[in-house]
Amino acid sequence: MSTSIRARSWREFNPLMVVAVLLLLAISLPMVYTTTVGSAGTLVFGLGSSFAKHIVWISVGVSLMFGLALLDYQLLRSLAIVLYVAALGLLGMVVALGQVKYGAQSWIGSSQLSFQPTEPAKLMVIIALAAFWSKHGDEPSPWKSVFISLVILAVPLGLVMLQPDFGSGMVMIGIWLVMSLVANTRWVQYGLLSLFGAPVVVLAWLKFDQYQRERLTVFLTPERCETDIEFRMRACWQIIQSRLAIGNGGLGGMGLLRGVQSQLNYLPVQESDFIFAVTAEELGFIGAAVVIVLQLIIIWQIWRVVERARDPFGRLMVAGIGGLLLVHCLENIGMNLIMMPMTGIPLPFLSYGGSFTLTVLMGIGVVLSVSIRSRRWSFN
Amino acid sequence: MRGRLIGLRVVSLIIFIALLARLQQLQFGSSAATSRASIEQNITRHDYIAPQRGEIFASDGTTLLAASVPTSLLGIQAESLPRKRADRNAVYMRLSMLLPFSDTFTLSPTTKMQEDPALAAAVYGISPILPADTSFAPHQSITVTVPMGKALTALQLSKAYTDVITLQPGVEKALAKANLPSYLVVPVAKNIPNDVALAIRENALALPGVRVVDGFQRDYPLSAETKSLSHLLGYMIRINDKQLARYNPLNDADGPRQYLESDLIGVDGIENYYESTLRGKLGTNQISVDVWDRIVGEPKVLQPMEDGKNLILNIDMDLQRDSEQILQKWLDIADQRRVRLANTPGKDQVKYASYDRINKGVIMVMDVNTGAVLASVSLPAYDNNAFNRGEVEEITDLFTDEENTPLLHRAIAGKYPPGSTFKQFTAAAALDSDIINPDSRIQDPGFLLVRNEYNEALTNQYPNSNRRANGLINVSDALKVSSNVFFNTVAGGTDYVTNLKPNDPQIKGGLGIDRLYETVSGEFGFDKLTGIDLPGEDSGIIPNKEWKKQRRERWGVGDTYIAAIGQGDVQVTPLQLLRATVATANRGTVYQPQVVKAITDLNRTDTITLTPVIEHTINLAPEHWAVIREGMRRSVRDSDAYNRIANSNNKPAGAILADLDRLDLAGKTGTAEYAEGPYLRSHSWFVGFAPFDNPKVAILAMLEGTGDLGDGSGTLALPAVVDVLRAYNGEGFPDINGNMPAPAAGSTGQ
Repeated sequence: MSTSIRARSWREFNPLMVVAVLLLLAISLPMVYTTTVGSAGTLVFGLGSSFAKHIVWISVGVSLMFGLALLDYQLLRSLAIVLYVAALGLLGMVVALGQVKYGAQSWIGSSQLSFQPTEPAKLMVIIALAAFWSKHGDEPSPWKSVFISLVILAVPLGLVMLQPDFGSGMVMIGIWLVMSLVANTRWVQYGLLSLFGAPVVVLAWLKFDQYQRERLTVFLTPERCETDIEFRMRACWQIIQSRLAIGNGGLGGMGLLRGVQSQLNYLPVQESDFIFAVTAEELGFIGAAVVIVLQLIIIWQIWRVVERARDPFGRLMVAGIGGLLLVHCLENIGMNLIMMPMTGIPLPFLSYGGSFTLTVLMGIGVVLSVSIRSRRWSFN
Repeated sequence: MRGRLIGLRVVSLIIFIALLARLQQLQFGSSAATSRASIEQNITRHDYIAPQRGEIFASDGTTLLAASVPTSLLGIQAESLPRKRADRNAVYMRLSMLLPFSDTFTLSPTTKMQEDPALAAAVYGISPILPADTSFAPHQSITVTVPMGKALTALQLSKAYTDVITLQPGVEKALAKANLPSYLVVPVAKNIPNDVALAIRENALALPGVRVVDGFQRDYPLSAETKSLSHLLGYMIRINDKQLARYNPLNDADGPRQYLESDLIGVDGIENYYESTLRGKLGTNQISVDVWDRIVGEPKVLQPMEDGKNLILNIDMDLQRDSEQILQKWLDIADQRRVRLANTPGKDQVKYASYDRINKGVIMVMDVNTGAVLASVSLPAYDNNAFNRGEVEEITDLFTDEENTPLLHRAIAGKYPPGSTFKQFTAAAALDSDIINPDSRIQDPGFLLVRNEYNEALTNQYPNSNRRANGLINVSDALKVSSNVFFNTVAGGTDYVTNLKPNDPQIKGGLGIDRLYETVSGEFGFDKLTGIDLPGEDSGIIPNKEWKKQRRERWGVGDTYIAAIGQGDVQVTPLQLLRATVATANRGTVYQPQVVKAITDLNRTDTITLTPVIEHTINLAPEHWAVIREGMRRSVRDSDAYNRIANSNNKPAGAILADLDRLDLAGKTGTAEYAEGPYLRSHSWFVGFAPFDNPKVAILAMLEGTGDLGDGSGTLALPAVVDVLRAYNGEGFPDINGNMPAPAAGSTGQ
């Protein structure tokens, strides 16, 4: 049995994943429209509207996706250090001069043209981690590289937590976990790391103020919202409104532009953080379940690409991107469904927002690039 | 490697299945069922439009007694306040820059001031002098008052030193004190100046939850001077939970609300009795709002707002004011006598020294031909503006003053033995039952000795006042001299009397309590509510066999003797006695007393004048009315009565008699005994009408506890009524020194 490697294979273009991505983007068009249309119900199709911008971002993103698919991903390995330093620079800038929006300093620039550097930084960190770990091939990760990978993670993670953007911090940790798994980190190493990690988590927890803690844990005790008026005022708005919106949807939904909660803007940052709840209200269980299944298909296909990747660099990169998408889905949908902490992170392919849309589509581009250059098994 | 990838796939699958399951639970589970209703509640608000309360005028239709004064209120809608404490404080402190609220902050521990010079400087910048009890120790704290103008400085300080400094904004204290639901706009400041109202409206974005509401405030412009108006008008306080539950539907879905938790409601007097007329209807619009409280779509009118109606009273303001002064004058005269007697050595000095200050009484004036209440004074009274001012201590004092009970509306809720003023009604009963006729004569030996019907060994005595023997007298004479014996005999019969001579006229069996009760209650309206348009009326007591039975006592003939002369268990309200006198004056028409004359809308374009309500007509023979009325005229002219007036006014008797003739007054005095401690005291009464032939007005005066001051004070009520009648005729009345007012040039009143 021998392995033959071909430069490209369009059979490995992975049409299922591409179709799932395009379907989600197609769903995102009406959903972004319905969440950004004025509450008076006026149609907003103008060039400056959020909807128009979203179309632009999707178009640019899809082009980048296919462009990156064609590009040999090995090029990224050589850019790894540059990208990593750029990521640190971007995150540092956010901390230094970012404006506070929705409780975290994660936006740069005016409100007209704001840019979320944390999102591309996640992708850059993935590339850097992949480049570093791939040096070891498929051997079990030695202690030294586990340590160095943690350092590579820790610097951007620290900057993200300084903003503070708890949600993105969780995403970065999730990325590292998936990538380290693929990098053959040994179970004993995880065991020891969690021993040292626990105090860090406790310290981080102590650093949060009461308001942040309550927002992070309110999903565990939603019944307290009914009994404690002060607590309800401080911490319960999101979960109450989200629960109402989802419950209102039923099987078939209220219909596009007909969701009460969404049209009257009761869901905070509904075009991004709570777009899933809006989908559940307006498109019902059917629409929301389709979104969940499509996300699962994409991630499932990514794991398939991880399996077949030609080299450790490609495999690790794709694993990181898979981790990124998985944690985003879990956090965002979980938050909408009141089973995860309230963190303001977007839902891949569905949420409005240029930085994130471009980031995930470029991520898929990288996955495709790895996919069509994957190894084939031949039995001769 | 392969195993790890399988693990990743399994984990992914579990996550997504969990998400799907949770989605299913939220969309089809138990919580989903209530979502639609909750959303309805979430997005709809009820917009309430307060009606303007009607105003109350005196009988001239222009003298304002209860006003709705436009005012700008500063209100806070708690549910629209920022959710973070720091942001809320910012709103409160911005308000404190505009209006005086007593803001304070607590600094704990005080030692921080020693450790941090910047903090100390900032604190001294707000308050140059620290509280007197300031001490510097680790667990000590101080509370500093924030002067007006330093509110924003205090806010910044509290933000900079979150651990050390806690703000207590005055607005928040006011909100907590009001204790109202968060959807309501809770008034925290009244009468805010226009420029402040404008500033708040212009800066609405920086003051979420703050509202300027144009409302109305109650004011009683004449009550401070003429306090007796307060009993008639009543007062308003915030509605309580019980009343809310009574007027409002259980759920908003069941119908529109009639009252909000912040609404005032009339508690006593006209304000209470005509609450729904004065209030109008609370308007309710249902609106849908988005998350920024902006109205979406058209409001749905659930209940259109209706302004309240104005009321015009029968009360003549000049007569009301004069009557109050007259009553006060005669109470003062009586009290001066009490003080004099208490300081005069003698056998009764101890008794008089035990008497409370004399300051209680009633004067009422009623139109004989309509039942309209023209004036009603109960003293002691109170200023009902106290409830508008809302100062707790002042209001509490009114409720806890057990000695003066200023809130008691004695004219309609005070129960008193009527004494001799009851005799004309006994006379009517006896005449109507043919026990006597107008000419029947009865022997009055000054007292009756009556053998006890159940125990022959016992004999009771029923004397006249001063045991004066009047000889053979008819009913008119008996009213004139106020003979107890005559009415005792008529009511109880002579069967058990032992001190009559055999050839004296005998009344076998007498009238009996049943027939007496039938007439005084059934015809003259005692022991029943009069139906006056005021709340809190008492029905008084006329005892009968039934009443005694309920108290497990047996009716005796002695009880009939006593009831016939308005003593014993007989209790009437001044209003009942006056109404019965009106019926005597007009020869049989019993009116339902009316305080309100007319109801009109706010623009006074549509006036409904209330017609007099005749409750029933007393069917008594004209010659019987004639003899009773004649007796009442002679009673006023009885030498005993006018001599006492002469004594008390230091005037010659002839002048008084001439005065009474001129005024053409008929009526009946009464000295009604009641027990107080070890002493038998008495109230002095007079109830009468004028002019005699075609009466226009009936007047009652009652001065509590003035009947036994040993010098003829028992008829203090008569000169009081004479004064009121003068005032009614526009003649003026003498002051406490007996001096008549100088006639004012170009003016008809005083």
